[in-house]
Amino acid sequence: MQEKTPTSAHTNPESWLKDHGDALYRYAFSRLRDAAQSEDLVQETLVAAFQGRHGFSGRSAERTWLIGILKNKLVDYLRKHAREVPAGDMTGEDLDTEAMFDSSEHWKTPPSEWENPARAMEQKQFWKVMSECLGALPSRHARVFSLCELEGFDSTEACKVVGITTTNLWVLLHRARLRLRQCLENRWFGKETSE
Amino acid sequence: MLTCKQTSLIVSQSYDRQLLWRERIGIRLHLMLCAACTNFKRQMDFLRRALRHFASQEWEENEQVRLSAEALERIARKIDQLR
Repeated sequence: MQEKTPTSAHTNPESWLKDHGDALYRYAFSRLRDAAQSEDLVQETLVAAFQGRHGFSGRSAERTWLIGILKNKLVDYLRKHAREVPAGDMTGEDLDTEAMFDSSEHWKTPPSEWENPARAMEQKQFWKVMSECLGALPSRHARVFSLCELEGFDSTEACKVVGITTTNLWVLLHRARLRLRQCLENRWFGKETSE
Repeated sequence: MLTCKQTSLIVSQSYDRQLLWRERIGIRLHLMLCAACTNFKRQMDFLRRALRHFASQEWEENEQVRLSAEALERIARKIDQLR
C-alpha cells in the first residue's frame, strides 16, 4: 500500500477530506469523545486549511499540517466550552470520588495489584476499554484531562485555557485519575482476580 | 501521618507540579506502610505511560472510528462553497 505523499508544494486541497478526514476525525474523537463535536472540528479544520492552503509549504506532510490546525481548533473549542460551566463548585460527580474513601479517609476498596499492565498495552481490546473509560469521564473533568494528559499542556497553560486556578485544576485532574483508575480496574484489571 | 485520601491527592499532583519537601517525605512514609496506596502509585505511573502512548499513536489505530457518510457529505459541501 503506497501512501500519496506530496513531493513539493503541489498539493490537492480537494482530496484532503478524502485522504485525511477519517484521521482528523479519529484524532478529534480521541480527545473529545463526542461524534457531533468531532465532526464540527474536522469541518472547521478543513475550512481553515482550505482558506490557508497557500500557506502550506509542502515541507511537512499534509496530515501533520492538518493535525496542527486541528489541535489549535481543539484548544479553542475547549476554551469556549470550559467557560460555560463554573468550575469551582462541587457537584454530584465530585461526590462519587469522595465516596471512594471512608470517614477516616481510608480507601473503601483498597487498590489491589494489577496483573501485568505491560501486557495490557499490547492488546487492542485494552485500548478500546481505555477509550471508553476516557469517554465515561464527566465532561468538566474530561476537558482538562484531555488538555493536560493527551495534549501535553502544563498546569499553567491549561489553567489559562479553561480559566480556573491551579488548585482547582489539580483537584479535577486527581478526580479524573481516580475515576479512570476505577474504570480500568472494573473493566480490565479486576476481571481475572474477582471472578 | 497522611491519610490515604491525602496521599492519593499528593501522588496525583506529583505528575502536575513539583512537590514540596514535606509532601515528598509525607508520601514516602505513608507508602512504606500502606500497600493500597503503593498499588495506587504504581497504577498512576502505569496510567501516565499508557496515556502518553494513547495520545501519541494509539488513537490512530481505532479504525471503527470514522466520519459518517452524512458528515462527509456535509463537510464536502461546505468546502465546495468556499471555492
